[in-house]
Amino acid sequence: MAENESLHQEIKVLIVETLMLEDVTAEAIETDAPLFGEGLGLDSIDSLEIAMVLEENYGVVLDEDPDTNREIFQSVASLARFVQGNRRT
Amino acid sequence: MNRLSELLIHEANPGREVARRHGLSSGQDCSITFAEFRSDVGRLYARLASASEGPWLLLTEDAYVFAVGLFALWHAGRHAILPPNSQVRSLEGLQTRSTGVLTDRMDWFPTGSPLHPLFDADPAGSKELPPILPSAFSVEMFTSGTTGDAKTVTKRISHLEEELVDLEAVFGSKMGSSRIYSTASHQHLYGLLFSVLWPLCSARSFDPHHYLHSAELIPRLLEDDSPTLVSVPTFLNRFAKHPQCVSLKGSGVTAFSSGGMLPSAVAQLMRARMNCAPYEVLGSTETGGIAWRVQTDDANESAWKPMGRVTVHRDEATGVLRVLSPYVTTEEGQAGHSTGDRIEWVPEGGFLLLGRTDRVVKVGEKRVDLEQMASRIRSHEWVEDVELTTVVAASDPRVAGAVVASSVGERILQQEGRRRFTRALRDCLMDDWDPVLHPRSWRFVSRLPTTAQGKVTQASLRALFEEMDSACIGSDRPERLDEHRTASSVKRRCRVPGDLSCFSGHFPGLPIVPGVLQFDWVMDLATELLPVKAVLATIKSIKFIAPLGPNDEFEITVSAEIGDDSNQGDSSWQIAFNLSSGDHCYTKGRATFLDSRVDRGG
Repeated sequence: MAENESLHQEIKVLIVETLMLEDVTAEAIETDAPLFGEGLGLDSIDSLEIAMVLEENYGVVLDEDPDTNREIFQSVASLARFVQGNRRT
Repeated sequence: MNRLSELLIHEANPGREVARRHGLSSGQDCSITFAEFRSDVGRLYARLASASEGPWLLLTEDAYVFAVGLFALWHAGRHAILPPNSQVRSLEGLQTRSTGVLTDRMDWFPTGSPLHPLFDADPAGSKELPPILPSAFSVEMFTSGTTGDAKTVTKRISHLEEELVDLEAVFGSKMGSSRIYSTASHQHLYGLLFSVLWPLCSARSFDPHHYLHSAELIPRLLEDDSPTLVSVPTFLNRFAKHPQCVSLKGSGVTAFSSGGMLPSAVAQLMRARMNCAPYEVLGSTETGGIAWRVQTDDANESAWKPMGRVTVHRDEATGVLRVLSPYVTTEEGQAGHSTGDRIEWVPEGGFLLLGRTDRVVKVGEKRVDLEQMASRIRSHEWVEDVELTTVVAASDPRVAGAVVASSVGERILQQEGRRRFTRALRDCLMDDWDPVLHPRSWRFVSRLPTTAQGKVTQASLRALFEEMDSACIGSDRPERLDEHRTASSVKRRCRVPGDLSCFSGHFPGLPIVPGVLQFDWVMDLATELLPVKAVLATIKSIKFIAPLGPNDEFEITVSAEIGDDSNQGDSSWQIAFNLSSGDHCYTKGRATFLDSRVDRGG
């Protein structure tokens, strides 16, 4: 559980730093809140950026299946589950 | 090459593959033949022919389903409206103008919409298709416009046919019988032409999936022989850096890029990592394709060559590009279509793009007129004034805004914080601008930054974002107004921003700048002033005389003298500082700094 939380925190920091979010701190991102639209308000360019930084940091490569990818990008929690299950570093 | 209007009437080879879907769950690809395509169109046509008159909305996720819908509408003599995206608000507006909606994504539409599936469970007989009239206005698209005005562009079938003929003439021989994969939406002209209509008419097959991520696309390209990728700069930028991209080196990929400038670094990476020199296409929804180029390795910028039968003119007075093209009707007496791009001829042939004459910029292949967006933001009651520019955030340029808050806005900033404020500004843009176009960086200032001549320029705005980069935002720095320096002192006039994060946290209802933060500001200035990297040794005295609050203008003065402590020689400095406004002093004190490089022998 503690490991999960630290991964959640790591991903939040990556998101804030990569996207240079100004009005949100890593602490303020809710683990289960949607990343796009009404939630954190990220957009399609952001999702490309996050995919790239996850690859760089954890060696995880997105799935071939777009529906799976849509699920992966739901929230910080789903990103963390994906990283956990696929990381190589 | 078949003509669009004759495609379903004259195709000679009914067994050829029109599209191939990758079967994700089964692992089996599903090939769709021309005969199946014709029969799918025929069945839908039979239903449309008996429906009432009027245009139809066509919005699909899958490009094959889209092709069936489009051809069925055309054969039924109907006009297709192609919504630019699935944002519910734009769909609601469009529905009032249409007879019905053809879609494969019922969930994108508000409940109660007149939705029609493209494939009916009841296999009503396929009907014989009547001919398509090429001169009919038959497809309506949306564009952010060459000026950033959102507007509709209506194309005749003949316009599309002329452009397809030229695409095949210019690029066809290089592609052979390549299958087409796309990351560009078929709801827009570029994707519609390059990834759907062109393969259909040139007897090439296409993958109807709209790819969003490199990881989804690369395995498909690897399985294929010399595939073609229809893409956009934003995607290619990541694609070229993807770790698996090198595996495509021997795959003979042909790539197209349009919708914005492809950075030369990306073109270079694609050549080096996957042996692919992308064809860049310059165009707009209004004019269709204008010119194309392949960026070469040499240091000179590669020139654009007009596409096929297009002729390009340069307006002598303004230097602006004008296009005469068989893909668009030019009114009599008109000198062609202007795109707002300034160009320069190259002696060896072709032209270079010099930039635009107006404030239109592109972000993620979408155009936005910064002036138009600024005037919308200015109408918000929390805003006194605003100017917009672009800054590079992560890998892409993003819109950024410098805001002077109104008195109501100031209160919101102090009481509810920056996030609430910027969220409200983004909300007021939601109806008319795609989220990727919304400003991503904001600076709250007491007046807009000007040059020495008193003008607000793009450069003065950008400087504001560089000076206060986003790392500073969380750390609460004062807004710099002007400063005066001597060798041993700095006097900087500043203003306390209304949006300091400490205001919401520290003393609810009473926003004041905490002492630690004031001292941070002094430290910043002291380390700027001192000639070497110095560290704080001791604070000798500090006195908080009066509270400093939001929007207070003050002068922060730091003066240094070489330390007189003989043991430390000239590796220590005495600093005197004060924060004041005229005769009124907020805070003052003294501190000692040491040269961080000197080993003090611990």
